[in-house]
Amino acid sequence: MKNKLKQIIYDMRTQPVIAWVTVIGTALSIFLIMTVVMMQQVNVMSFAPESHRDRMLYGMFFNREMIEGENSSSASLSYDMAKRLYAELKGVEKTAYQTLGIEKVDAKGTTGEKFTVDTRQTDDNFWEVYDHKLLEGRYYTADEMMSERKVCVVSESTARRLFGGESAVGQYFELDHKDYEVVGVVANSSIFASMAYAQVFVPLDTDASWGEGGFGPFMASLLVEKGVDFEDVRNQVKARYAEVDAEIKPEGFRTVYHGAPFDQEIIASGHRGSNTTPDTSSDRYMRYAIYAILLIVPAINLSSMLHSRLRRRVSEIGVRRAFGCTKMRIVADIIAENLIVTIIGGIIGFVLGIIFAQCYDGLYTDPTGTAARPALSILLNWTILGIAFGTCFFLNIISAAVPAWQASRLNPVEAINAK
Amino acid sequence: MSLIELSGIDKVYRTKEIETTALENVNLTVDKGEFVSIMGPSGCGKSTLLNIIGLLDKPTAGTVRLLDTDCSTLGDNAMSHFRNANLGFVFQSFHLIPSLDVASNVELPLAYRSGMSASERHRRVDEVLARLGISHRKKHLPTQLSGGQCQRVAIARAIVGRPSIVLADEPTGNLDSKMGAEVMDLLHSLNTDDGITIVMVTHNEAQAMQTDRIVRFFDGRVIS
Ligand SMILES: Nc1ncnc2c1ncn2[C@@H]1O[C@H](COP(=O)(O)OP(=O)(O)O)[C@@H](O)[C@H]1O
Ligand SMILES: [Mg+2]
Repeated sequence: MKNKLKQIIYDMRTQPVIAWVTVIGTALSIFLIMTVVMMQQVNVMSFAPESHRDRMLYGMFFNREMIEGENSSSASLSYDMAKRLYAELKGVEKTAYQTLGIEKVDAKGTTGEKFTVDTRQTDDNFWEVYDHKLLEGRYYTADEMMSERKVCVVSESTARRLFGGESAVGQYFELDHKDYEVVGVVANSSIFASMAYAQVFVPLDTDASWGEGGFGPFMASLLVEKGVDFEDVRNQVKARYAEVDAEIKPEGFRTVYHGAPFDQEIIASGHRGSNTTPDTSSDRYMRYAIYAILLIVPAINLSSMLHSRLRRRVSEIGVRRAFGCTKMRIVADIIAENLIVTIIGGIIGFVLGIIFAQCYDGLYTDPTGTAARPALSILLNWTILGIAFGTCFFLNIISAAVPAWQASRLNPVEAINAK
Repeated sequence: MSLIELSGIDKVYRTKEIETTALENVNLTVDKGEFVSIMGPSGCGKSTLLNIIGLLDKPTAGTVRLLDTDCSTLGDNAMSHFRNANLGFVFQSFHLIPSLDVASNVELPLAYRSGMSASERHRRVDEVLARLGISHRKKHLPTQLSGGQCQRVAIARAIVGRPSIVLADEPTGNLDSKMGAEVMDLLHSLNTDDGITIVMVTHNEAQAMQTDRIVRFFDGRVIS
């Protein structure tokens, strides 16, 4: 290991151009790959408050159309329809109801400043399905929701903006010209937690609905039990659609089932139109193809770079063979040595990717299409570090394998005497 | 007991246009503890012979027996291990690894030996460096050494693994006569004190005269 480092440093000194091109080339390709991966990952991997994205299903839309005629409607759900389709499904640990989107509402607190806050209506289960961090006070209850109490939970930074430095719990403020009591304060959440994010949370208004068809502003968030197949849940939901279908048939309507409820991958893919069936597999292949191109193109370059680095060391390889180094060991040593260079480049590229993400709005968008900068705490996690390291490793293997194999097959006598 | 037994060795180099016969029906036996010189004009196949003894090259015909092992049948890995355990090489132009310091260069054969601890490797390296009087150069790179010192390091590398046989191809060819004499003294001491069997190619008649036996080559054949 120590000798490998010495060798690399020597290499970089004697062949600085090739060495730096290698490191910078690696850094840039890791930067590129990491940026693409992180853009994808912020929308699929779990982070608080969406700590169980791998177990989440979202019932977001309902569709119906006239049996004869052109008329069809699709939208989010009324509270009743949401419960009808998603309450008490087998294999689901907990179901929360909440508004599908964020509503921007005027707020004014004791500081007197008037500003716009992102609000979301939720039921009490929302606090169990999602993993918000309660800093002060408590969450609102089912009773408070049913009795339409004007209580709310606010985010830390909103609390500060409303009340200055004072403790927020028990205080009142004006939200959309009505007085609300703060019962709890939670840690700020990222806008990339597009299902759980808000600045002010209020108990949901169970009567809010849009017309007769079961439409409204709501959706269901389902926390599925560990090990349960999403398809089992979908099949139950499909059966519920059939029940509704039978009921609306006399009125001349039928339901249209589009594969609800959606999982996180569908949400992340952006395919979540209210009236289309998502196709994530073509999306996934597209993504893999992009990763492959992002890996293979630099790998070809790095490979020829390594090839010329090794050309200077042919004699050395011959001498090593003479003193008992096996072919496999030659391959392994070259790959190991190259991995160190790749990792140096990878670290630079990774840091660049993080800095870039912190500096540019609009590079990253959440599934709802909102551009923002993902917090450092989201990007710096084991999944992404693992992917970065894995990418380095993979890039190293595909770029070093051929030159290393060629080097190991040199005839020792010819290699020793090579210039 | 004979350590090296070559019988009926032919070596033919085939390129697109020409066939060069480098060795023709060479039979040679070297006993344990012998110091043998190989002499002959340039291009007569001396290096080719040494490479075949060193298992770095394969003969076109004939068998190579080293330490009572038929090496013609060994696979590539087995040959590598055999070289590592039993053979040491000294080259005319030293062939030290330029990026490694003296200690690491000398340590090289031990790095390919399984089951030897780092401390044991370092102890052996220190021992050999002290013996060859180059301990003070331990941390130097090869470019910081004189030719004579380089060859000492190369000899240290050749013997650190305690091989039975050392093969030296014109070890003094790149050295002035004083340094050449020092290197010869060293090889003699390895031969007499350590009992290492040495096969050396040389152009220097006086050096050859000091060895146990001279094998003369001409056009790929042993003539005496
Ligand atoms: N790799 C090779 N390809 C073709 N011919 C070679 C090769 N190596 C050596 N020869 C030829 O074999 C003969 C013997 O070479 P060599 O053993 O190096 O001679 P010496 O060491 O006695 O000077 C020479 O004619 C040389 O040109
Ligand atoms: Mg020669």
